[in-house]
Amino acid sequence: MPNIKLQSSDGEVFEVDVDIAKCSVTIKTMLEDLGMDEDEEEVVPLPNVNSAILRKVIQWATYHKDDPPPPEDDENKDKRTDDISSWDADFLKVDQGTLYELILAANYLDIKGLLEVTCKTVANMIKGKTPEEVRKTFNIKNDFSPSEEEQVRKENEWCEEK
Amino acid sequence: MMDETENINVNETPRILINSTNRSWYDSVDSGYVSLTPQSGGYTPIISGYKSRVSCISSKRHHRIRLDPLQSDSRAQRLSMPQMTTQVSPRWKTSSPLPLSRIVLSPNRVKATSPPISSTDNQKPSKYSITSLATIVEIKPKRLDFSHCALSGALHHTRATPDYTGRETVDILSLLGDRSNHWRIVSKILSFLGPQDLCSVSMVSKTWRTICMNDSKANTRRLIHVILRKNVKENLKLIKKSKIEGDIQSSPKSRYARKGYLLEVQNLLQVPGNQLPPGSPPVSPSKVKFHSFVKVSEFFQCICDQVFIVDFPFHEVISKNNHILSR
Repeated sequence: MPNIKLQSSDGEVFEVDVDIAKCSVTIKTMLEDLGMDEDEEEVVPLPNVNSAILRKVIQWATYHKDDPPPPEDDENKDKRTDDISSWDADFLKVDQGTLYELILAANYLDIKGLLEVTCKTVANMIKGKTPEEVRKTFNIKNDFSPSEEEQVRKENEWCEEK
Repeated sequence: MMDETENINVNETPRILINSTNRSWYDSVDSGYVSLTPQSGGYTPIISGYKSRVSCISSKRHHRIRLDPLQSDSRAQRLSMPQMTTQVSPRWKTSSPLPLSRIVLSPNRVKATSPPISSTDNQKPSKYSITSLATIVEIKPKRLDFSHCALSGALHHTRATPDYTGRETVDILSLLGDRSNHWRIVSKILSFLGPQDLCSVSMVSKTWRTICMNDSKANTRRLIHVILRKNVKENLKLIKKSKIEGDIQSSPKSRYARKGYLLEVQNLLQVPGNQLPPGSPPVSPSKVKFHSFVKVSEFFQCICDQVFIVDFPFHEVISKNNHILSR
């Protein structure tokens, strides 16, 4: 099995099976466009991904390498967030900073499955919470002025649970 | 390179100006030219030269007042206006009118043309040209500095946002949307949320609110939800109201009871022992007379009775009297 070398932003080089690396559409397209020699010693630099995140991404891709390609986005389909596999749920039990970096990496490397599951995780962190609880979750300061808050509250007053 | 060619061009122009024997083509170009530039100096080259000198002097006065690079730029442009007429006209002959507009608009070329102008003119403008050159020299390193800064910045920061790995909490939506422009991801996350959650999201903070508003799909879903909820809640109110109305139709008493009106009356009606004796029936005005007669007749009846009652003793009295009388 041919390998490919990926270099993180902080200089660490990861040697990955090409099939696993091709989870990333970005790398896949690059390899297809540029061609790849078997004995190529070229290192692919990934300046947007640090080593910790790249390690996680490779871990995810290794586990999911045999997955069927994710279905196309269906606008009308009901979006579910409770269908995260237990492995993914465990994998994504990370701090919010790492989760954010994983989303960015998944977006940059164009790994659809990882982006999907990370976004779902974020959505689950917001779901079913009051604004105050959401603020608490993400450590956000309420920067509405009293009058603005009143206006926002008024706009949404019909949404509030009884 | 560009500047060089420009200079050559300009250096040529005075020659053309001086021995402008071919006035015929000047004339032929005239109409098109005048329409393009406000100064019609191109028609008569001598006037154009004079004008350029005047503008030089006037601009020089400006220059003494302050050494503003911007000012010098506009000055240079004004100064070179008549010169350009001479410079353009030969080109006009050879090629399309496009170069003219290009020259008018680019300040760089204008600057480049200014020294040759002054050299062809008299002493004063030449002095000016030196100072103007000095200002140009002043500007150029700045530009270089700027580009250098940008370049080194781009080399050092490969990413627009800092690394957040390991942070316990991050304002994830603001970072994705506002700070790094990953709107596709933001709308993906929002698409996983229900309309009720979207309402909450829009109430978290200013940034979250704008994020929610900017995502048209999420915002539409949220607004539809708000309207639906509003309708449902108002309908609930309506249903309650109609229920009350139904009660009213079934028993008018309960309506009064609900409102607290006539409570005492109802209590009176409900307690049998407390019933008042029925009063005299209401009387219509037309029967007042009749009733008065009835009353009178009753009165008389009463008197008659009394008379009768009295009568008997009276009779006795009479009889007694009779007796007495008879006695």
